[in-house]
Amino acid sequence: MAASGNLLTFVSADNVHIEVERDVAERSLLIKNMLEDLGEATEDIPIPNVNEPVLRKVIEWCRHHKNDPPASTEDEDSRRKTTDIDEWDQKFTQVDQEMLFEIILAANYLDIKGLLDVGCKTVANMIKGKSPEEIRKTFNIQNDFTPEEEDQIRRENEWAEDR
Amino acid sequence: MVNRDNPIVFVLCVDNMLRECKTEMGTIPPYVNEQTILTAKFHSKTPKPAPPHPAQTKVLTTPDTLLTILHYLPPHDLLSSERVCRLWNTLIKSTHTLQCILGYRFPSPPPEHPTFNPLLQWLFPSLFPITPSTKTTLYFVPETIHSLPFAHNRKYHEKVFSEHASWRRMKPMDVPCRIKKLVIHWKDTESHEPRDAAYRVYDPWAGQDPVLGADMALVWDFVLCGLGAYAERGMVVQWVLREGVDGGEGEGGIGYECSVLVGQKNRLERGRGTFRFSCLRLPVEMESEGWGYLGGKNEVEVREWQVARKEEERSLLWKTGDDEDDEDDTGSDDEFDYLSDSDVEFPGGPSLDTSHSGDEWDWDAAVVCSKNPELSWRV
Repeated sequence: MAASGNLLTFVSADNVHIEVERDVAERSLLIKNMLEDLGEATEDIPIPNVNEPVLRKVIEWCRHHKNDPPASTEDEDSRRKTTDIDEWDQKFTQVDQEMLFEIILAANYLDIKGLLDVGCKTVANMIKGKSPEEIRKTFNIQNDFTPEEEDQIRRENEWAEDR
Repeated sequence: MVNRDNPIVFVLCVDNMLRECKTEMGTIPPYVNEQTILTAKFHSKTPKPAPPHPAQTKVLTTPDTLLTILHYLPPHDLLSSERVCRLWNTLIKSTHTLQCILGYRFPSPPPEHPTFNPLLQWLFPSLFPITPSTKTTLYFVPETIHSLPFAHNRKYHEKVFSEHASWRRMKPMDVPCRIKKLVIHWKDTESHEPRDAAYRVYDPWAGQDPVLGADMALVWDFVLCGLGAYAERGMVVQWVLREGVDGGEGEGGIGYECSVLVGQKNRLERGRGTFRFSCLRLPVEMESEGWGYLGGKNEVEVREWQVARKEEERSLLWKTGDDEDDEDDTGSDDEFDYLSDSDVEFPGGPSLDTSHSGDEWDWDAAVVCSKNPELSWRV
C-alpha cells in the first residue's frame, strides 16, 4: 500500500503494514530526515529490526506526543536531573521487561529521543535502590570481575551502601 | 593563653581551571585498558544457556543506551552500578559526565551555581549547609561527630574510614575548592578586642593540586584538625562563593573562590553554662599529619603561635589582626570581610564550666589532644 497525502505506511520487520500519519511518523528523526531527503514518500517504509507489536507501541507513543515541542539540547541537563516520568508515559511503560527493552532499541534505532529517554528512565528506576547483586539478577548480567577486582571496588564504595 | 572563646576559621579557595588531561586518566583503575573493555563486552555478550531477553542484553551492553540509562541514576546508585560488571564499571569510570555526577571531576564549563557533592553531604551532613542559600553549617562540636551515621557502628565506621574509601577522592563541590587557611578568631582576654590569626596552608604539604583543589579527605582531616586542637570551642563551617577572582593558574581571572570559615557560633539556644560535651574520644581516626597541612608543619603549636603573635612577629606562616593577607593570591585580600559580613556570630562564646561538665567531658583529654601535634585519635 503506497502512502498518500498525510498517511505513510511502515512495514515492520515481520512484514506487517501499518499506516501512520506523517506528523506522527516524524517524531522519529530517522524517518523525518529520510522524508526530507526523499521529498514525497511514495513507497512503503521498511522498518527492519522492529516487530509489529513493538512498532505499534512506538507509534502509540509518537501519536500521544506528536505535539510535544521538539527536544532541545539546552534542557538536556535539567531533564537528566530528574527521573520523573509523566503519568501517561508511566502507564505506557508498564509492559513486560522484554517489551520495554525492545521499545528502547526501537527508539534508539528510529532516533526518537523522547521515547528513548522515557525507556531509559524506566530502566534507571528499576536499578534504583538495588545492590549490585540485585541489579545483576534483575537484568541477568553476568559478574565478570575477578574476586580481587570486585573486592577492591567493594572496599572503595561500601561507605555508601548503608543508607 | 588561648582564649576558649576563640573560634576557628578555615578558608577554602576555589579555582576554576580544569585540567582535563589530568582528570581524564586520574580515576580509571589500573586494570582497565582496551583489552578489559573488549573482554567485558565479550563476557557480557557470551550467550547464556537460555538468554531470556535478547533486547535487554543488547540495550545493556551497547554503550550508547547503557550510558543513557546510567545518566539517569542518582549518585548512590551509580556507585552500586560500578560493581555490576566490567563493562558498567569501565563506562562509569571513563565517562566524564558520570564522573562529574560522582564528584571526581568538574563539569566543563563550570556550573553557574556551584553545588555541594550530594554524596558527601549525605555522609558528612554537619560539614555542609542544610540549604544552599544559608551557606553556613550548624554548630559543630565534638559530639556532632557522634551524630554522624558512622559514629556508633564500628563496622560501618571502618568502612567509611578505610583508606580505599572513594569519598576521600571526591570533591566537596562541583567547582574546585582549595583550603587556604586555618583562622583562629578570638577575643583578647584583656582588651576584649576581637582578633584573629591565620595559618597559611601549604599546598605541597596539604596535597592540594593547585588546579584541582582539595579533595574531601583533606577537608575532613582539616576540620578534624581544627576540632581536635580547639575542641572546647566548636566550629561553624561557612562556604562562601565568589565570582571573578583569581582563577588559579588561568589567565583572565575567570573563576570562583569558595571560603570555608570554621568559627564559633553563639549557642544561644543551649544556654550558657549548660552545654556539655558528651565525649571527646572521637570514633574517628585521623591522618596523623593533620597539622602538617598547616604552614609551619608540626612546629605549629598553639602556644608557640601565641607567643609569636605577642611578639608581633610576622612571617609567611601566620598573621594577626584583620590586616591584609599580603602573601596571598590576588583578589583574596578581603577574605576576612566574611567574618563580619557572614551569618556567623562571634559574641561571648560558650562559658564552658569544666566543673559542671561531669564525667561526660574529659577536659584533660581535650588538653592532651590539643597539645598533641599528631592528633591521632583512635576508636
